[in-house]
Amino acid sequence: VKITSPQRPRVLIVDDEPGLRALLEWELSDHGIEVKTARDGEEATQLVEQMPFDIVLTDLTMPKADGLVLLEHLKKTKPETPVIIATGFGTVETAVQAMQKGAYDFLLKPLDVPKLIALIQKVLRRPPSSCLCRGL
Amino acid sequence: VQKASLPLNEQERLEALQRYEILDTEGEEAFDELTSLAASICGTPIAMMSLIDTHRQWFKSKVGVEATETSRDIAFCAHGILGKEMFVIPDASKDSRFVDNPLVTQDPHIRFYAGVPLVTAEGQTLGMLCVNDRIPRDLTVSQKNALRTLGRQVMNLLDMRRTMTALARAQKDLKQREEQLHLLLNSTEEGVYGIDLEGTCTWANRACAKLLHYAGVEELIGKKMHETIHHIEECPIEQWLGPAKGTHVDSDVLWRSDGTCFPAEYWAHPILRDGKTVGAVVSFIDITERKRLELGMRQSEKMSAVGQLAGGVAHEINNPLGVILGFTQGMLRRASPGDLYEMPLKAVEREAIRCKNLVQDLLTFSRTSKADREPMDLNQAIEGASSLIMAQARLGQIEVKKDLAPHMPHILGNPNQIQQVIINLGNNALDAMGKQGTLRLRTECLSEGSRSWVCLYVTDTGSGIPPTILPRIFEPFFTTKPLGQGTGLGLGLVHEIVQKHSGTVDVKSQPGCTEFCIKFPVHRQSALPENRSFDH
Repeated sequence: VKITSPQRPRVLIVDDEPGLRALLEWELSDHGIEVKTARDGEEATQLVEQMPFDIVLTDLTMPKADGLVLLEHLKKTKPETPVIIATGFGTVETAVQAMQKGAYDFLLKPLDVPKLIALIQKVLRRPPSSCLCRGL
Repeated sequence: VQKASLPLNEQERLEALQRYEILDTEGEEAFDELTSLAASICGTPIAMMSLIDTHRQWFKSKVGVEATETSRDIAFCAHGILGKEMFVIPDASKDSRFVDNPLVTQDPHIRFYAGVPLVTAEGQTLGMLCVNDRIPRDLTVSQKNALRTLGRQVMNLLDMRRTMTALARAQKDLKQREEQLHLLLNSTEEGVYGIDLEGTCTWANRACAKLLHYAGVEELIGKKMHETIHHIEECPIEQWLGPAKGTHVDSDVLWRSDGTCFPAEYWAHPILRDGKTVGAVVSFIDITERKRLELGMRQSEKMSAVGQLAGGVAHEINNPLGVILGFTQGMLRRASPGDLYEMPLKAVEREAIRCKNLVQDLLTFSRTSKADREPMDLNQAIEGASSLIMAQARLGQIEVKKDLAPHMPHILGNPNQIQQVIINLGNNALDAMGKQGTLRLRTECLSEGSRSWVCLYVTDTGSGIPPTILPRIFEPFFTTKPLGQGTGLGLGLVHEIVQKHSGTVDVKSQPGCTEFCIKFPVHRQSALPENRSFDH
C-alpha cells in the first residue's frame, strides 16, 4: 500500500472541450485539488495507469474512446475509483446506462461549478477505504 | 248531301292547322272586327271565319249565326278549301252540291256563299273567310277585292298570333331556365359574377354579394368590378379579356364593401358569343381558412427547420458558452463586494445566460416535433429517469418514493421524451422543495368511459404554487426562478411533449403539496403487456 499524496486529492477531468478543461482545472485547483486533464478516454486511460486518482469526472461524448468505454475500463482496472459522468441534454439515455454500469453519479451539462464542488467534496469525505487508499 | 272531297295534302294541312294552336280558343276582337268588316262590305247578314278540322268546321269568329261549329260533311267551306281562289255559290238551292244541304233546307237557309281561302305562306289552306246570305245574290268586283284583302288580313293576323304564342312560350321557357340558373348559382357558396368588356358587373350571385359584404346583388350590378373589389394595379382578369382562354389565380386579395379584405382564389373565363369574347365570368372563394392552415404549416416547418439548424450548431455553441459563463461565474464568486470588475463580470454573465437560454429554446423545439414513437412501458421510463432524479435528490435530504402499479398497459411514446417529462417534473419538484422533503412518483391505469389512460402522479412537499401563477406555469419561458437559473421551459416542455403524445397535464397545488398528473392514452395494439396472462 502506497499513499501518494494524502494532503491534496487528485481529480482527473476528461473532456474534449479545451475551454471546459481549463475552467474546471482553474476552479478545482482553487479548492485545493490537484487536477489532471485528458482530452478523451484514450488519454485518460494512459494517465490512470501512470498515477492514482480520487475521482474521475468524464464527459460522455468524445471522439476517441467515449465516456462509457472509459467507465467500463475503469470499473475493470480501478473499481474503487468513483466515476462521475457529465452529460449533455441529449445524452440522458446514455447517462442512465452509465449509472447502471456503476457510475457514482452524473451531472448535467453545462456544469454547475458549485454543485460539482459539493459533489466532489462529498465523494472525498467518504471512508478512506473507498477513497484515499489509491493505487491498490 | 254531297261531301267535299279531301284535299290531296290533307294530312299536312291538318298538321299546319295544329301548329296555329287556334282551334277551340276564346273569341278575339281582332278577328271579330275583320269578320264584321267582311259582312259590312259585302252587305251580308252572315260572315264567318271557318277553320276546317278533321271532322268539323270550327268558327274562330262569326257574325249572324249562333253555331260555333258544324260537321265538315255539310260545310260549304270544306269545298272552298279545295281551290286557291275565291269560292262563290250564287244560289245554293240551285246548286246540286248543296241543294239538300241542311244549312240550305233548314235554318239558317243559306242561299248565297262567297269565301276566300286562308292560305299559309307554305300553301296550306286552313279554312275560309266567308260571307253568307239567305237570298241568292253576287258580289261586285270591289266587294270581291275587299273580301280577298280581308282574307289576307285574317291570314296575317293568324300568323302574327302564332308568332306571339311561340314568343310567349319561349319567354316562359327562358324565364324558367333563368330561374333555374339563378337558383343554381345562388345556391353555391362560391361567389360568381359576370362582367362585360368594360369590366362592368352584369350579373352576380348571392354568395358573391355575401362574400363581398353587399346587402344584395343589385348593389354590385353596374359597378366596375376591378375598382370595386380588386385593387391591384394590373388586373389579371381584365388583361386577358381578349382572345385568351381564361385565368386562375390561387391566391389574391379581394376587398369588401366595408374596406376590409380577404384572401381569395379565383377563376375567370371568357364569355363567348359567336366566337367573340363579350365579357367574363369570374368565380371566387374565400381562402382565409386555407391560408390559416398554410400559415400554421409554414410556421411549424420553419420551426422544425430552425430546430434542425439549432440542433446542429447548439453543441458547438453550448460548450464555448458554458466555458465563458463558467469562468465569469468563477471570477464573480471570488470578487469581493465593490470590486471594480464585479459589474462588468455580471454583465458578461447576464449576456452569456441570455445566449445560453436562446440556444436552449431552439434546442427544445428541435426535439419535440419529430420523434419516433414506439409502444413503451411508462414504469420502465420512470425507473430509468428516477435514477437521475435520485442522484439530484441525494445532494439534499430529499426522499424519493416510487409507487408504480404493476402490469400497466403500454403507451405509444418516444422514450427519450417521456423520460425528459419525468426528469423535468422531478427537477421541478426538487427545486420546489429545496433542501428536504419527499418526492413521490406514482402510476396507475384509469378508465374513463371507452377511453383508457396510463397516469403518472408526481407529488412534492414543497412550498406549493400560488393560485395566481398556477394558470401560467406551462407557458413557455414562464419562470419564477431568478434570471439565469431556469429557462422557463421545463414545464412548458412537459406540456408540449405530453400534448404531442395526445396526453393531458393537470396540476393541483396547495402549500406543502403539489401534484402533477400526466395522462397518456393507452396504446390499443398492446393494451395489455404479454406477461399479463401469467398472473394466475
